[in-house]
Amino acid sequence: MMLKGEHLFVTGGAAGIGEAIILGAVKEGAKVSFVDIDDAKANALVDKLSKEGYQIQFEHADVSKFETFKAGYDKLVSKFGPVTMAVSNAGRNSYADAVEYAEEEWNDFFALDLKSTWYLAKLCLPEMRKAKYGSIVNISSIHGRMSRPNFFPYSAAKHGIVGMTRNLALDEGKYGIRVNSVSPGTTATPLLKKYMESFPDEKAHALSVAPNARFGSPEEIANVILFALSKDASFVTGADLMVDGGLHARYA
Amino acid sequence: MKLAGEHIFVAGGAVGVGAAIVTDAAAQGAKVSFIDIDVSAGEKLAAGLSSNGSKVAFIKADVANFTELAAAYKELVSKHGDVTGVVNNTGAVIKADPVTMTDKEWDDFFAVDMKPVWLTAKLALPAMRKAKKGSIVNICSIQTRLTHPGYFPASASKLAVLGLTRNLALDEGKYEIRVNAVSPGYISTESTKAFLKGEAGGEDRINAIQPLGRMGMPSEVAKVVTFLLSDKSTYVSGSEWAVDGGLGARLS
Repeated sequence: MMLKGEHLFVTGGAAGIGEAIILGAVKEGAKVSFVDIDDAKANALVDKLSKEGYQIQFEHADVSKFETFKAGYDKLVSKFGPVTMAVSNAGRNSYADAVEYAEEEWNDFFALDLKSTWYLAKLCLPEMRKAKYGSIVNISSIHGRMSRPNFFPYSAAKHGIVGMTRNLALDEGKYGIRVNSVSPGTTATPLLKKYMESFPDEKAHALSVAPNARFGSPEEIANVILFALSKDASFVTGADLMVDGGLHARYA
Repeated sequence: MKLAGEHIFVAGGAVGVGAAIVTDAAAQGAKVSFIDIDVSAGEKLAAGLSSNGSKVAFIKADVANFTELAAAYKELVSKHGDVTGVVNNTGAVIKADPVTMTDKEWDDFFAVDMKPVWLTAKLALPAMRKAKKGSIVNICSIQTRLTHPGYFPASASKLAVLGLTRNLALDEGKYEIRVNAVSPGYISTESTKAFLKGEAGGEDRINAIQPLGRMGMPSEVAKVVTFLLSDKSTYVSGSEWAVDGGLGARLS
């Protein structure tokens, strides 16, 4: 029960890695609140886990818009109390040509993939500072360190998360708040499935370059996130924890 | 008991971070073997943990001498069975000038700080490949990314260990053997304290630059190492995880 007594808040918790984080966290004893835009999936997850006796709640919120994000967050806190741990996990892909990309698309994408990580910090830090305790994990990606052709501007957002994480770690350390990023490699999520459907050649390539010839499972990523959140990682802050089966050690 | 059923071999386990790793691995249910050149500390640690019911074996061996290392390894395997996890924690502190450093000093340093990563892999990999399971953790340092004037061979050695880590991860991934590096920052060990005593106000100076306001405890490094040895980190390989309280995120 690594997270007993904690209140964990997750953005984008209805599917994929977010869902795996929640499934792991409740088993480790945490109360969990999450936001998402997929109400059907989110409600199904809440129903399932509530029936199993876990403390779990959901609010619909678009984390790329601060006012709606805050409204959802405040509602959740009013029921479960101050957030002690948070995971910024919401995000999507964006693959574009730098010339054809429209400014509106850029703004929408960065609001979700990068700015929402700041929004989450803005919302949860006041209580964490007061408590002199807290742990935040921001989900970046292997694209936070390196990239492949045609990933503009995804890499920029993911690199940005690593940079913001470092600064938040320096700034909040004096309050005993730890901030880390976790960077998954190729992970068998719904997002990946959709991507592989759009780019069929990528699947064979991705498997051929994976050092252990397989993709990660959402649960394997979630295990690292839960560890980074927990007190077992009490001297880990400002770190980027790669979980990619060794892919980032390889060129081409 | 995240290491139940495992046999963990630690090179350099008698004091400091190594002793904390031996202690935590035993607490997590592993059989533990370790070697060191410090006989009295090694025997004392093994006796203490064994009296608490843990299966811990110690043999004096110098990693710089392959014949001695191989003999000790063989004896420990005959006692506890095939090794499923290896931790390389041997090393030396070296401050050197490239002009006055002698050839022998260079060789002696790399023989304990870098080469054992290969030598223990040479010994452990055959059984791990057969079992299609294994985890190797190499203790590196914040010096893989940042350094300090006057430590030129130390940075070379630590980056070489990281390079070995990456390549072993790629090469052994097909056997589901994972190889990772853990890079501590300032850890409050006896040797760190002795080192800082040489400078008036040294410990205060170091604490003042720590984002968390303090140095790490050996047990805080050990928790990350035992996580990487465990089945909770099955998709983590080729990674370097910093355990430095955020120091690596900071410009001096």
